[in-house]
Amino acid sequence: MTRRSDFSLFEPNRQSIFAIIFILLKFIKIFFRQFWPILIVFLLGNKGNSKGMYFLYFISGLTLLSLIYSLIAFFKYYFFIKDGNLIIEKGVITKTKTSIPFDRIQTVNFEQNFLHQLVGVVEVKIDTAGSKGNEFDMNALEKEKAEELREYILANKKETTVVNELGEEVVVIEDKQELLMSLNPFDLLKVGISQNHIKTLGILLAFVLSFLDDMEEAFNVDLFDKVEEYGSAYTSGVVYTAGVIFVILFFTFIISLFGTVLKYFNLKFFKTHKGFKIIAGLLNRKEQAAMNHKIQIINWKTNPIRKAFGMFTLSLKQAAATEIAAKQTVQVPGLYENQLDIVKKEYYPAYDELAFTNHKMSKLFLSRALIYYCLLPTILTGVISFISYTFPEDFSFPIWIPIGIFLFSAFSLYLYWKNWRLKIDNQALQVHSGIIGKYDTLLKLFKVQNVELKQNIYQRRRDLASLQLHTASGNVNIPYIELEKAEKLRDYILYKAEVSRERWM
Amino acid sequence: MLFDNPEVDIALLPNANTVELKPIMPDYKKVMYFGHIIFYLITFIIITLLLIFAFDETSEKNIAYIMYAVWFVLFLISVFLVNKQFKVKAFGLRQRDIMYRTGLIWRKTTTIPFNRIQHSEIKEGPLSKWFGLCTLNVYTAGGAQSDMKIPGLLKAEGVRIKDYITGQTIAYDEEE
Repeated sequence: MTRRSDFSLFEPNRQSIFAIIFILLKFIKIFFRQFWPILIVFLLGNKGNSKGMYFLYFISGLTLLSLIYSLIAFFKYYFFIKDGNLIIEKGVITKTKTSIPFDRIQTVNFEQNFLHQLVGVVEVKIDTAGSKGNEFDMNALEKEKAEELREYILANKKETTVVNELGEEVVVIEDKQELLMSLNPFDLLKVGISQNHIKTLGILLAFVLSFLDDMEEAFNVDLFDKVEEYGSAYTSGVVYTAGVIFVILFFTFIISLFGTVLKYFNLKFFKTHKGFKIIAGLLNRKEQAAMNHKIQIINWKTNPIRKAFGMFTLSLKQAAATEIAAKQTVQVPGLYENQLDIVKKEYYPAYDELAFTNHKMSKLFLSRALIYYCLLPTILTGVISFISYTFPEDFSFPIWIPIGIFLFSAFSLYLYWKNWRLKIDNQALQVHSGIIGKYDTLLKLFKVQNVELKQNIYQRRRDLASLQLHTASGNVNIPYIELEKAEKLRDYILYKAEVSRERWM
Repeated sequence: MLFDNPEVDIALLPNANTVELKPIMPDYKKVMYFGHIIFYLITFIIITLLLIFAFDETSEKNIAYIMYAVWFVLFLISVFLVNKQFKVKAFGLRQRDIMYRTGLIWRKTTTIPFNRIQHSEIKEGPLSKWFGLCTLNVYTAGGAQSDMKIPGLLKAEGVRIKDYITGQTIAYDEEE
């Protein structure tokens, strides 16, 4: 590795000079997030008023203060490496010195938004083992320096330091990475089209409603009424409703597509010598890594549209404290089957779907679920509907609602039960489920932390049991299998976990 | 058949089902009763306050009376079930793991291998302490949901089990 003569990791270093800008931006962002409704009210509500001038003074003062703060923060920030620790010194008013042992560092991730890319710096995020708050952030560091830092840290975590013939420790840097997939624009479009639009719709509605609510508070007018007014003034009822639905669906689709492009633009998914790495994003390029030994569970899913494209979404779930677990999941959309196979083999080298023995859920699950989630709601709504037909002038509850509930619920429960499979071989298990989509979870047995065997009264009478397998990154549930099978599986999983000498984290 | 390619004969594996589970101390029943009494006392006070200060009309007062009835039935059931609930709670130590069973209606048997334990601790609530009891908490990396809490152990026994677990966990680490 070529080192720049003016840069040494072992002496106190400042961040890139551009860090000042990013510290400042962060400051302003936090401020705006807190006070934007007030700002809007001020800007729109008090034009020409003397209050406006005070407001201007206030803003200028604040800007000046933040600028000074950013400058001090920048000049007081140092990092360097000493005795296998990354040391960070910082503090505007109180000075803090943190040393992070390399062995506790889990991941070193880079992020680049548009501005970062423009000036050639990255934001460095260092995650350590442990709970929330154990993260360290460098606002901006030149890309080469950041890479050097990361390579040094990752290479010097205990296991990769090697002693050479002369007896001195040398760092082995295997920088080999193999591109597993990259999303070309056409594939990106496919991923966008096959997004979960219902989720987007929910978020969109929630956002619009909360926005209207905020605006109402700010301006003290009823915007919902206004919208209604405009709508009904220009169009008749049916056309209006259809129009609104069309506009909402159209926006949902566009936003889904837009979100996909923002998040997954120019996605690159690599296999590295110790795990996987993904880089993606348009304005904010995010890089995430997953170490092989830290991956607990992998799962892949697909919906009917994505299935038609032959694509899957893969999640690599890494061990982490619960608070940051979601962040530690590496998600890769739009993976084709052959690419997915490589990942499965990497996680579990002996993976062979045909070698698994298949088990179904007990039939009694279906009968019980039908009673609770199908018959009961149907009867309840049916009774309401019956009453509404007896007293038609009081309220109306058409008969197609209970019928619809019955059909929908019965059909989906049946499909869920019919498609569900537990697949086991001597080192791993895979749970397959899905009503119209597909959802698969693969777990190496020795990764299990804790096995729970659960039985409710009904299951005890029928010699059935459910298993819940806890891992360091989420649970795997196996509902309603025969008690004998559940006990055997529990004993075998415990055996695998107890004799295993492999690193589970 | 669980699967086709076993590396050991599953029938020969230690069967967790045959482990004789040990019940927790009978004094813990009193702790459970006391917990119920506190809970029902508070709910009783809330209903009474509602009746006196919030409910004015007859229809509202009737609701309060129904609440009393429900409260009373639930109270009787809870007290009646304490003994049965208590009997389910039992734990077992094996060579390589620790088990705990609980839950009258939703029965749950948790097993944690020693080599997956992060740490364990002894906790004494004020009431438990009065009876010389403690709770053994066993933590894994499986998240808060999967932590094992064994209540109603004699203080000395709790400490002994904790030391045993710690010893086993260290033994594993040293083997590696």
